[in-house]
Amino acid sequence: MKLRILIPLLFIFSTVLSQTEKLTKTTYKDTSQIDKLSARISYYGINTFHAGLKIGVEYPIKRKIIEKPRIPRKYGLKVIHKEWIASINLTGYYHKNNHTGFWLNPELSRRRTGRRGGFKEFSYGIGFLKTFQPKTYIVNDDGSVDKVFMPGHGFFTISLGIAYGKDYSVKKNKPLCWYIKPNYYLIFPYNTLFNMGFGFEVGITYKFLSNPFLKK
Amino acid sequence: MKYFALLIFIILFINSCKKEDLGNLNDFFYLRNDGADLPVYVEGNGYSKKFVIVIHGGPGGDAQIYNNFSKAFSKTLEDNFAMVYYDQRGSGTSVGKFNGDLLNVNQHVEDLEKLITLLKSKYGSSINIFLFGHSWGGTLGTAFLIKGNNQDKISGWIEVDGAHNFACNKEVYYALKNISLQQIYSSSYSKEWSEIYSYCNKLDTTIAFADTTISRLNKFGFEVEKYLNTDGLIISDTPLEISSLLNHLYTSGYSPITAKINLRITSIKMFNEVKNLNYSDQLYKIKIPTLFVWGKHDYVIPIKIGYDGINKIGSTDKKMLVLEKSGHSSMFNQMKPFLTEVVGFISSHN
Repeated sequence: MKLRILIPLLFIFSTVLSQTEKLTKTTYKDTSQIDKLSARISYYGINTFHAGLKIGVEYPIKRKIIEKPRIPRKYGLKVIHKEWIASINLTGYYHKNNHTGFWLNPELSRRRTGRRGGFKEFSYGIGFLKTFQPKTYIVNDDGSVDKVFMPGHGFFTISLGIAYGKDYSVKKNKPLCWYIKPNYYLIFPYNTLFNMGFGFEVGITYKFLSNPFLKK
Repeated sequence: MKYFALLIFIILFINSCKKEDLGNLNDFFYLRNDGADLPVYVEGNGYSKKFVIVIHGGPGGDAQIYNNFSKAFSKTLEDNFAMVYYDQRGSGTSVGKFNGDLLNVNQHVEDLEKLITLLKSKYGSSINIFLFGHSWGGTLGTAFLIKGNNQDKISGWIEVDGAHNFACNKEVYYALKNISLQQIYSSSYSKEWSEIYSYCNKLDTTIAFADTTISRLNKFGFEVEKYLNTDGLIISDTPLEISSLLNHLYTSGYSPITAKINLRITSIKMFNEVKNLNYSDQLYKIKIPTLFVWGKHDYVIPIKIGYDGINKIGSTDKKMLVLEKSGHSSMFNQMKPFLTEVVGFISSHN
C-alpha cells in the first residue's frame, strides 16, 4: 500500500524537478568560426546634418547564448545573445565651410540581442581623423602671402556610441540588420586641448553567411 | 580616357577663369598663423571697397553669431559693405594645434594684423577697413589700435558694449546694485533681484574682488537681461527668424559643440590675463573716427565704461549712441537704430 502511494509521488516529484532544471539559466559559448564576418554601410552625419558615409566590417570575437526562464515561467525560456564585436570603420564626411574629414575608427562593441532580434550596443573606439580644409593662407612676416598646399590636420579620436537596431537573422533568417547609433567623440590634440563632436549614424549591416545562432 | 582628361581640363579651365562676383562676395578661407587656423568668411558688397572686420566677444566666442544667427542683421550690413567674420584662435570653429601660452592678447593682435594684410592682398590694397568690436572684441580692437601704427590701416572703429576696460568689476557691482534695488519692488522677478541685491550688499568694495566674485557678477550681468526683457526695459525690435537659427546651428560652417568647448577652454585660459586689462588710459592714442554704441541696460560692461571711454578717445571725430532699451548685445536688442547709425557711420568715412 505504501509503495502504491510512494511510487506515483516519486514520479510526480521527479517530473517537477526535471521541469525546474530545464527552466534554469544556461549559457553556451558559440565556437563557430566561419560565418561571423559582417559588413555595414551607413549615413553618418556630423552634428546630424553634415552628411557623410561610413563603411565598416565587424567580427564577433566572443559570443554567448544565454537561455533563461521568462517571467512568469509558464512562457518557457528566452534566448538572448551577448557578443563582443570588433569592427573597423572608415567614415568620410563633408562639413560645409569647415572641413572634409576621413576617419578611421576601430571599435569594440558589446551587443545584446533579444529573442526577437532587437539589439542594443555600446561601442568604444579609438581612431584617427584626417581633415582637409578649404583654401588656407599663411601671411609671412614680410607681408607676403602663401597658399598652403593640401591644408588640414590629423587628430586622434576616442568615441563612444550607443546603437539600437534589429537583427533579422535571429527570427527570419535574413542576413540583415538595421540600426541607429548616436555617438560622441573626443578629438585631440585640438587647439590647446581637445574638442568634442556628435555624430548620428543610421545604417544597415549585411551578414555574409547564415546566422550562427540558429540551432542547426 | 582621352575625352575624360579633356573634360577635367575644361572644367578646371572654366573654374580658373571664373571671376569672383565682387558685388556679392561669398568667400570662405582659413588664415594660418602660429599653429592656429582661423576661419574667415567674407560676405557682402565688395564693390563698396569697405570691409568691416567683426571682432567677436568672449574671449572664446564666435563670429558666426553676427552672421547666421540673425540674417536681418547681417543682410543689411552685407548689402552695403563686405563683412568679414573671423573666429579668433581657440574660438568658434577655429582649429589647429598650439601651446596654451599663445592664448594671449598680443597673439590675438598679431592674428588680426595678419588678417588685415591677407585681406589687402586678396581684395586690393585700396580697400578701406573698419573694425567692429563687440564686448571682448572691444578689448582686442583697442589693443590692436593702440599698438604701433596699426591705426594707419583702419578707416574707422566701432565699439559695441566693448570692454576696453575689462577690469570694470566695481562698476558692474554698482550698476547691478542700483538696478536690483530699483527692480525689487516693481519687477515680476523680485525674488531674483533680491538675491542679487543681497549678494552685492555682502561684498566688501574696499578690497579687490576675488575671481569667483568677478565671475558671479559677470554671470548676473547676463542673467538680468532676461528679467529686464520681461519687465520691458530691454526689447528685441526685430524678431529672430527660426530659419536663420536652424541654418546657424545645423547647416552652416558653425559647430555648436566645438564653439562651446572652445569658449570654455579659452575663457578659462585667458581669464588671468584679461581680468586686469584696462586700456582706458591709452584711449587717447586712438585718432581715427570712432563710434561707440552702448545699451543703457548693459550690466556686463556698464554704460559708465562707455561714457568714460568715449571721453578719453583721442579722435576728434567720435560719437556715442546710447540705446535706451538695450542690454549687452545692443545690436540684437534695438537692431533698427543700431544699423541706421552703423551704416551711416561707415558710409560717411573712407
